[in-house]
Amino acid sequence: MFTRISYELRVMGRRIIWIPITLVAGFIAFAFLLHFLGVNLERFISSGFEMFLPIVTGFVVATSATQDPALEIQLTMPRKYHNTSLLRLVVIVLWSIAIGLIAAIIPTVTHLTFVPDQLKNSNAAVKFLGLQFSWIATTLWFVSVALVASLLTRNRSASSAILGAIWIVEVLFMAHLVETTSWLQPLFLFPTIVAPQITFWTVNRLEVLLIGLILLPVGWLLLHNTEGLLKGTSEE
Amino acid sequence: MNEKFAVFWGACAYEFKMQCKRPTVWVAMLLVELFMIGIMTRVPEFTNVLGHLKQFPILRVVVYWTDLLNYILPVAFGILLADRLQRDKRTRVDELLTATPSSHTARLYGKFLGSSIATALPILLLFLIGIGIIVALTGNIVALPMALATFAAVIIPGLLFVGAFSVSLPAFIWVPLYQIGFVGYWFWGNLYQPKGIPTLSTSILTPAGGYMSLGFFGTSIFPVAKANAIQGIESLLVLVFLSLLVVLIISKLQKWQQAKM
Repeated sequence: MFTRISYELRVMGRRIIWIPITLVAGFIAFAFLLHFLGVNLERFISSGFEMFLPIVTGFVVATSATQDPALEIQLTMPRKYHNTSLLRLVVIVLWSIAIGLIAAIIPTVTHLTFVPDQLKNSNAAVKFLGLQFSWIATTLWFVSVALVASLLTRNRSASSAILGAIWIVEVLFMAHLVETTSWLQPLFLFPTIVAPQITFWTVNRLEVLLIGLILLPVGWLLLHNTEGLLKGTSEE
Repeated sequence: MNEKFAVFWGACAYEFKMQCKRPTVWVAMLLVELFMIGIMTRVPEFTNVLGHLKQFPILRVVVYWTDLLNYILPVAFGILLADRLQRDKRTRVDELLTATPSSHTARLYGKFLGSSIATALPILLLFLIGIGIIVALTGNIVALPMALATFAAVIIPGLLFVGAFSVSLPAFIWVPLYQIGFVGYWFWGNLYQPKGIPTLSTSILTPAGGYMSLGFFGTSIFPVAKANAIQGIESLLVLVFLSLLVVLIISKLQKWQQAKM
């Protein structure tokens, strides 16, 4: 299995490994700069986990799901492409989560975590686990949507464009929208950063995770559409 | 000179046709536009303007609609343009074109302009639909020349700027990395309300068009507190100049890279 994973990593390229590491390194470097400028760091650091790591992972998944230089050969192999693609997705997601969890130690140790109101009265362990659960749920949501969107549109750029628009809307509008439109609450992706005061934080995180988990099998089913995958590569 | 223009025009026309016929551009843009409109119908300010169109000055309504489109749609526009150069590499067309005596710079300018105009078509279409609704609901035909002015002054310079960077920079940056960076930049450099973190969103280097919108038409939804017409012109000129400059620089860098090979 290890050989297989390392082979898939080589096929996808080292960039897959370096992207989350670069993101974390960039955030640490920028945090130092902001510290010297006297900016409050808690919210900025937390945004790296909840806002940036998920979309970055989503973009990488959108790229890898429909892109394979040897896709036509892959589709003729006894090992089905949907299994290969799913393995790649799992590798990308687990790698991003692993890097995120390692990086999460830094704000915890330096007491620079940004905690939503619902977790403020909890003990340190619950706070840590809750915060990690928060960005992992958003990551899974973005990964699932990226997978489904890239397979439905048969194009990674189209999928990325949709993710980009969702991201901007979530950052700028969602905090106000969930106050007036209750059915949008399960689609609120960055509650810790943009509205930490909300009373439905825990429920929201579970709902976001659930949507992500429901969409994953949908993406897996769409991966069975070999004709669509081939059309996608030729339509670019 | 004529030969260079012919190359530019040929590349521009071909890229325009190719991008127009690409279903991805229309599907992605349509989905993003529907998503944007869907979200906007839940924003009280938008529904208030829409419900009481006649009570607002017509110029303010037209500028509000223009600014709204320039808020989110350039993100999709930039992302959809980012894979154009990479496609040439993948299909080996770039090697074929390098072997021809045609000007590389003229070709890149043509590619940038042709694909940018084609990708802007869905935005223009939505803009015209919105203006049509405004004219129909207010009965004020003056909205049409105003719309022409706001589109030319606010949307076009911004899209040129985004298009130039999105078409040319992926020559040296991995496309998904550029796309990720671009989304982050659009938020940070255009829409972010300054709250401690240094940002470009209050400078004249904002393709979202805050300075043109406020400077020329006196209203804007972008985080620009004050702007006059002179600053609007400055912002417009800086954006257009940088668009042309970045394509030229990338073209020279590509030629230098090819000469090294």
